Amino acid sequence: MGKTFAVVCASNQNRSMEAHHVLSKCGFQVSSYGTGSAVRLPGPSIERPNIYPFGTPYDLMYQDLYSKDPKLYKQNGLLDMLDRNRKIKLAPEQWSSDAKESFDVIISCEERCYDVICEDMTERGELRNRPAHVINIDIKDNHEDAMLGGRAILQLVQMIDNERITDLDEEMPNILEEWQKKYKYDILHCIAYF
Amino acid sequence: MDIQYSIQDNRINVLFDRASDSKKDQQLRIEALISFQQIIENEKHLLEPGLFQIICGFLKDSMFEIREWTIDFLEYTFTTCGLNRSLLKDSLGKIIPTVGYTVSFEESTNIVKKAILWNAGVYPLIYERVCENAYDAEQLWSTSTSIKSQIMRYFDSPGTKQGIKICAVKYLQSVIKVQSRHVHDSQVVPQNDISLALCPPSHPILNPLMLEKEAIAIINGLYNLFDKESSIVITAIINALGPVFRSRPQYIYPLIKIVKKWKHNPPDHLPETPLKSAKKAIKIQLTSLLRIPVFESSSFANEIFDSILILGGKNDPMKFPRQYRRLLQQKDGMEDGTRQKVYGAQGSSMLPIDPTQFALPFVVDVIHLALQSIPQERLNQAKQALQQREARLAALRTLPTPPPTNKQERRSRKTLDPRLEFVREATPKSPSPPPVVMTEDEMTLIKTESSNSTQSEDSTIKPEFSPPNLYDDDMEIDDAATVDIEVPQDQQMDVLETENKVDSIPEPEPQPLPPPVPSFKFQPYALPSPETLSDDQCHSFIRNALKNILEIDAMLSPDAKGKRSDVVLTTLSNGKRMSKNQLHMMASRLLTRGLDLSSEKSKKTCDELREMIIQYILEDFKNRTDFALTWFDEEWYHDSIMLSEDPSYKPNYVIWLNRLLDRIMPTLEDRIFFTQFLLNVPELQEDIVDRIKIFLNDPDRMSLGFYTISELINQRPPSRPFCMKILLAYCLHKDIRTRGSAISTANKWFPDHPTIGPNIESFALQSIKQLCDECPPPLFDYHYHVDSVNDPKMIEDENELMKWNNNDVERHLDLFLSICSKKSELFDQLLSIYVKTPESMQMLIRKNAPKMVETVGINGLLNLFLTFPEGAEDFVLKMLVVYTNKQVTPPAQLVNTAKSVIMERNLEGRFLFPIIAFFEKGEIIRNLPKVINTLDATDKQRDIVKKVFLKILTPPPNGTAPITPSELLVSLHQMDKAGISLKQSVEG
Repeated sequence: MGKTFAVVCASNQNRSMEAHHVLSKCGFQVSSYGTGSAVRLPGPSIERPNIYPFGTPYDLMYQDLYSKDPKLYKQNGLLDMLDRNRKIKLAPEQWSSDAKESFDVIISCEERCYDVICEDMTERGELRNRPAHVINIDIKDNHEDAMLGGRAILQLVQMIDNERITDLDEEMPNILEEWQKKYKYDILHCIAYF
Repeated sequence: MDIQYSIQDNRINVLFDRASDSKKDQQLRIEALISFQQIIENEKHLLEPGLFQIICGFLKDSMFEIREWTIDFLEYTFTTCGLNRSLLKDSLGKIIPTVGYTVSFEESTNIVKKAILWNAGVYPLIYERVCENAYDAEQLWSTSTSIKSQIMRYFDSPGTKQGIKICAVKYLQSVIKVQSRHVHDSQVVPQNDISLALCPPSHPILNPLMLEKEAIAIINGLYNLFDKESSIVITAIINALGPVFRSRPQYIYPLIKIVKKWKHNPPDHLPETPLKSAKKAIKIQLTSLLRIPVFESSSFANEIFDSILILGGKNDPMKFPRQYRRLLQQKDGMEDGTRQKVYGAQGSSMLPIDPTQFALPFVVDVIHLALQSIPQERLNQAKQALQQREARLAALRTLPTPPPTNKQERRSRKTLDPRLEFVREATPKSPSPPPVVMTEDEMTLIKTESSNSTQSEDSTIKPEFSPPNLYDDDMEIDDAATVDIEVPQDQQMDVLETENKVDSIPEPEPQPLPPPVPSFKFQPYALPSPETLSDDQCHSFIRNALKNILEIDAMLSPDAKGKRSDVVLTTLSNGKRMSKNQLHMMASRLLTRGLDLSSEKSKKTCDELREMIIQYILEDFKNRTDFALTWFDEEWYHDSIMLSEDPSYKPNYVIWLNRLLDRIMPTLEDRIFFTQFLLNVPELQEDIVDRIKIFLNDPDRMSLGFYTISELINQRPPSRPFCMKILLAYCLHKDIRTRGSAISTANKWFPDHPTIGPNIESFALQSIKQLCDECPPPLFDYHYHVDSVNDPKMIEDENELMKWNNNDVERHLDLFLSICSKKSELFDQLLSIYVKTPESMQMLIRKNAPKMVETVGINGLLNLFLTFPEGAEDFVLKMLVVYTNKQVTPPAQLVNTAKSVIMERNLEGRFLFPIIAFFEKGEIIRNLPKVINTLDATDKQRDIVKKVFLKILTPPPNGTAPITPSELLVSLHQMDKAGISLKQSVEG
């Protein structure tokens, strides 16, 4: 059985969903989550973001934004992003409340999310006794960087979930080193327990 | 496998028979076990200790898959299945020996890892079981202890894999938690906590003191691994200890010590990135501890805070709880030199402010403000109270003061260590206090101190136990456990406790004498009248003030900006914070609203100040964009207010924005900052945007120009019309590269954008309609002229040279063809214009046929054949020729359509030239007379027909020619029958 992966960003909309999209397209077992308190999408101005609770279906968000200002949201790429997301899963999921199962590798797209994941896993009490690799890759939250980041994550996942890798714990440092030769992202890596 | 079944369920018997039959196919055996698990999932009551024993037998099977299934099944039943806890405890004795065998002898790393993790899960259960059943669990405890020793040995063995160590860390975490005592300020409820408290005092197998010592030795051993293990293992240790810190806060302090040690001596065996990950893991765990309400008031909280700062927590203040954020600001202030650090005996827990360092005027101001806010009545009451108190104190001073007791003196001299405070707090509530875990260095220090201490210190306090040396570097727990604990030579913990208890004795604080209060009269305070300054002095002061502001701003590191959006400079006397933005705002308002502009001299000064700001921004535009924006916002706002009051007012905003742009644009290369600047200024006018032409005309900075203009069109709708005007004009530019960039920029919005898309379409149509004119339209002025946007002379000069030529036609067609590729129906418009143009123009248009073919593709070509208007035959023929020349074999659909259209419209023989080679033999012979008929005795026509014949006779790559040369010759000889003149036949 292949490894299980989780990709985590702040709102489970752009970076994690782009990675979810490319990974699931290549047949990997992947889930995605957000660590924020709510899903925040850009609005007509910086002071007026669109805020939805986690669990609101992507389709509902799409319809809502479409009814508010189709031109603006088409132009800034939100409608396209939500359209892609609704084809992948029903709704954005929150790491702390929705990530019930264990994963072999968790990839966060921002240091803030990495902190939340590590802290949350400790808070859960580590009762399942299952180690997981938590990796942070700093990706900027815009469409272009999310796309590039998604490709980089795919490459990393392909290196991890490879038949040649019999002992991931042993190989992980080498994999990360190899990967960093190709991609100049700042990374953090640790072992945490479910 | 010989199985003594005690199970009555036949299904399980059959399945186990099948699974244990090593002669059977591997898949069948696995399937039997999976079926068994499915039965158990539905009927959990079938599980009993005997069954577990049988299942464990599979752990010694030769097949890896069977062994892996077994350990997975055990993990399922003990962790996720939710079985009765007493059943699990009763089953342990049957399972543990086999799992112990797996931990020691299993070949597969994966199974060993799973076995260790399973042990981590059941260790509390084993302990609970042994505590409850003192007399029948000796074997269970001894097996469990040997497993523990085996797992710890993995750390000493050089070849141990990282994965095994990671799992072993988790197992040791479980051991540490169980073998430690519960303390009152832990996050866990005592009832749910499996700790040493569970063990009865006179248990025949378990010795709580020994177990605790072992736990301490393990945790020290784990901390010692920080100096030699990889970052994977280090982060695993830190994260595994996270839950331990919450339930056993006594283990936090050694980690703090390590962090402090790392401040000066970071582990040199770790490269940069792994070290960063390790530090980050510690920082996360420590920060999360600070947020736990139970620990808020703990004495070690400040130590944790200091450790986080060492690990770089200062850069992320929002992670801290509110009270620590405040403390952080105070520390920041002190580091900046604005306050003197005065740590007293209480260490970092005391408010780090020394009031004696405040400037006298500031103190007077504060007192004055405070007094103003107090009603006169209360002041009078306070005055009376003070006078009474002074009288009372004067009477007291006449009495002799008793000398301080030894204890009081000692206590007042002693520096309070927060660690000791922690122990003191814990002491009264715990019957035997948990030992403070210490590092090796610390123990050595204490040993030395203890040897120097005298017995007279406090002989009444007895240590509750005297542990052996537990602070070895390695994980040799066996050694630690065998040390005779009754030998009192090693007194480390003893000494520690003794010292702690000396400190912890609550003693009454001596009542401090209040300071003598000077008697003075309260009088109303009046400020002196302000000094009058001359105009020159005023202007000089203002200039200096602005200069000072700019100097302060320049001193702030540009790096700080990226980390925090608004850097706090200082806290003002009224308690409000002064941020960098406010500084900018202050400077901007000084220029606009702050000065009286009634005199010419004032206006001149104001302009000088503005010039000063421009110079300042130009020095480092990239890092001073924020300042520039704040200033221009303020100028624009001030202009709008002034204009509403006085329409003749001359606005400053445009003048100074233009001046700034004129100076930065010649040298600017940074795309993001410039574009962002233009996007953020309050208003854009045509004259301002016109400056982008400077970039558009510069081959090196053209992309910056188009990027800027595209962003302005996108994000600033009010300036869209004049930006679009520039962009569309560049779509007709003479230079092919510039034109190409402009077209690809414009194409972004076509056809989706509801307003820009139609705008582009109408411009493209307009530009091809201009092909009907005799002369090309006047050229757009692509140059930017300072103060003369439309210089008629220049345009006229250029236009004198303009006549339609191939390049002109091409630039008028390019945008149109580019949008045609997205909206093919537009191509008909070109045909309708083509038929209206003179012959010379038609020729020029036809020269662009290769581009057009590329644009319309095969479908467009077919459509063109079916619908072309009269007069466009040459155009269609040219398109057909270009297409057939490009393709080795044109699609049959095109050949057939062309054929039928030639027949329908009775087109000339030359229409057959491009396609006749692809006809069948009979059709070629039938159509040959039409081809011969085109011969008009000119060399040019003869050449064309010759090429057609060659094409007919050349075989396609994978076939034969439709007609042979001899057949062609025979056909030519029979031409006269088809009504072709002899002359033409001969020529053919």
